[in-house]
Amino acid sequence: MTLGELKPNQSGIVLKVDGQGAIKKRLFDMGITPNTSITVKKMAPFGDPIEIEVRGYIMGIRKEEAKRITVEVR
Amino acid sequence: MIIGLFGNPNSGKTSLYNQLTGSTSHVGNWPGVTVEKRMGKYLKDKSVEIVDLPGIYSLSPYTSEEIIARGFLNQMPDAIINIVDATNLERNLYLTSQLIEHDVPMIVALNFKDVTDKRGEIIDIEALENAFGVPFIQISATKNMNMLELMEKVRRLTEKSKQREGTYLFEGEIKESLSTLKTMLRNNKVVYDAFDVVKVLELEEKTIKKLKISDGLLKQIEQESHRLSTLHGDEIESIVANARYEAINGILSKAILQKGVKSKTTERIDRIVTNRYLAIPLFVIVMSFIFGFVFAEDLFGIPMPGVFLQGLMEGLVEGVQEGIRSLLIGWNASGWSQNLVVDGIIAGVGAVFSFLPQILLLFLLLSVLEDTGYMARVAFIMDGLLRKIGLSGRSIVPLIMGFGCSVPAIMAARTIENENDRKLTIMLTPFISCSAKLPIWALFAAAIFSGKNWFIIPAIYFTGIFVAILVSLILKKTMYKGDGSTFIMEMPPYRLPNAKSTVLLLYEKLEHFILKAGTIILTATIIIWVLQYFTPSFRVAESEAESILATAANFIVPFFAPLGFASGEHGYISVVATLTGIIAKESVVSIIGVLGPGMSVIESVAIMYTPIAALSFMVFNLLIFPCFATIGTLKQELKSRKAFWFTLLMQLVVAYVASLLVFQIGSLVG
Repeated sequence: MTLGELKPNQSGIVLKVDGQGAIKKRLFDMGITPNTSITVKKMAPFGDPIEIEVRGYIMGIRKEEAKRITVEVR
Repeated sequence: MIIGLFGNPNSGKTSLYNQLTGSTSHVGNWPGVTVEKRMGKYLKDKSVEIVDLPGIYSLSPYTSEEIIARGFLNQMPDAIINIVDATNLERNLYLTSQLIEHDVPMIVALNFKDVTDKRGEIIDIEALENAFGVPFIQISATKNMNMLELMEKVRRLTEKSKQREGTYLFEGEIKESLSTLKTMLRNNKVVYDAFDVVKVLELEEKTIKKLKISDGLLKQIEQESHRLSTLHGDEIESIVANARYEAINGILSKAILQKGVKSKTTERIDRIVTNRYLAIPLFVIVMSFIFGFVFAEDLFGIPMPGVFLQGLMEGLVEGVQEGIRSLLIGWNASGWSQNLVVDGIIAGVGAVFSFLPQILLLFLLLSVLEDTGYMARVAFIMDGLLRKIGLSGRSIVPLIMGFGCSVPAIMAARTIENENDRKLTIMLTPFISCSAKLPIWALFAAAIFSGKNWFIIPAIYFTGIFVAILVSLILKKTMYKGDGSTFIMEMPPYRLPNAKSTVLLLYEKLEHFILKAGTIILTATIIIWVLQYFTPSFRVAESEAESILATAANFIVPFFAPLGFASGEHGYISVVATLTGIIAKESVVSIIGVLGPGMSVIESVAIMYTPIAALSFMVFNLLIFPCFATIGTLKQELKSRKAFWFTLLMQLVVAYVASLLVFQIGSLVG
């Protein structure tokens, strides 16, 4: 399952981050690395982007980017 | 002595900079307020130069902010202060883990001590110092806590004659791999610091090029890097990032002696502000309130300050004008000097001055949007919509700031990572009606469309937005195709705007305005007055038509003729006003004040324009290049001669065509 498929208030553990160079590196730097727990908080008015909580802070991320992040639902 | 400030966006870096230098730099609560490095002298010791760098999450060279920060670090400052948001240690210390790898003396300042104290959080500073190998101190930049102690520690850092050597947080396998690489590099006589070695292990091309690593050596390094990847079953960059976070979590589990109670305020506010159904209506209400506050006489019967203050200011300017006129008459001053001072300078510059209160109110409200953290939410809620027109959620920050001033707005576009999104946002920002154009709308609304203020002013703002959307759609379909656009943005905790920094901001805007009025606008006004007072053979012009100005303007008038505002006896005035408006938009009103046929600017406008010609004039001035400063910023930020000239040509064509349509269709209909 990917982060993009999680429903609001669902949490998951990151297994893998796909994608090319810059975006992937950005996600790593922002703390989205394997074994990190992520909670989807809500969706923006147009259903995209989504609001997630990771490492104690809130981040907005598009579904397209969220789909690169494989998670295991907890 | 040079001290650099490093930290994540929203960590309070700019507040610390302002506190140390006494500067009035603006602090905003959205990622990317500081887009360029800024320098200032330490208040208590002028030999200390403080450099504020853009907020960054990491030293990866992927954004212009990161490149600026890394470039500065390579120039070996005397020391650096790493400011850390103590309410979000985990992510903030990630950057710290990269900074300590550089051979530069550094101190970590844990900011927001006031907040962590209130939460009852107890942090073992000594444990952090031991783990990171650099001094730590708890401060609060906005509350002015421990500033002197911080700078005393910085001074002691720079006293030590021996340079610091970069250290690692890494343990185990990675640490061993890094040692192996160090030996390889040393044997090949490569000069490096600890951070370079990590980047080499990550096989980052920039660093490999910078260190001039030979192909043979690179093969060995790749082998080591791949060995580590296979061992962990993950790619190298992920392994390194993970190792950093793991090390930080290990340290924090020991160093945080008592965890504070996290405030739920931000989450509660966001339940409404970014709510899927309420967010957009709320945004519309917020923006309407801002414009109502500035432009409406009252909202639902509650009087609003903008129009009221503008009226007061107008009375004041008229009073000064009449006072000086009678004074000059009393002194028997010559006719031309009376004309220059009263009808030239005071009428021209004064006409602009009366709009100062509204301009300041607009900046005040926009700064509140930024300081509280609301702007980041707007980017989040509008991303879906903006993507449909070819932009990104991040584009909303420059576009909203554009209501204030295009120059900082265009610079704010640097935080947009995707090149096409960024260029497009820069090109569209000048279409947003900035505060310098505000006097034109207010003047025309009063002179031509009296009683329809509530309609005409919003209409002109929406025209700007509408044209920006239209142009964006066209350019996205033709020149700026392609994707790769992303949206990844931190939503910072809400913070109350700091009264001191808000007052300083307004003071800065006021100063800037007076300076501009006293230099550019005054000079333009005097030059235009001289040109309209004399004939080409330097005799006093008997009628305006004989003047140098009218003679010269008549060459250009035909170009504007189809737009409807350049015809007739006073047509040349509109042309001159529009052209000087390209220097600074405020001068449009001043020039009409100087050249206009009426006793006051309002009267002149009422005489000069039919409603359709007035609309055409407004639309042209709305869409044409705002000012010299913006043109300069466009050139600097587009970074391509082709894109720059294209932007100017595009704006000219758009302004001309839109204005032509307004006049021709308007004439047919009405």
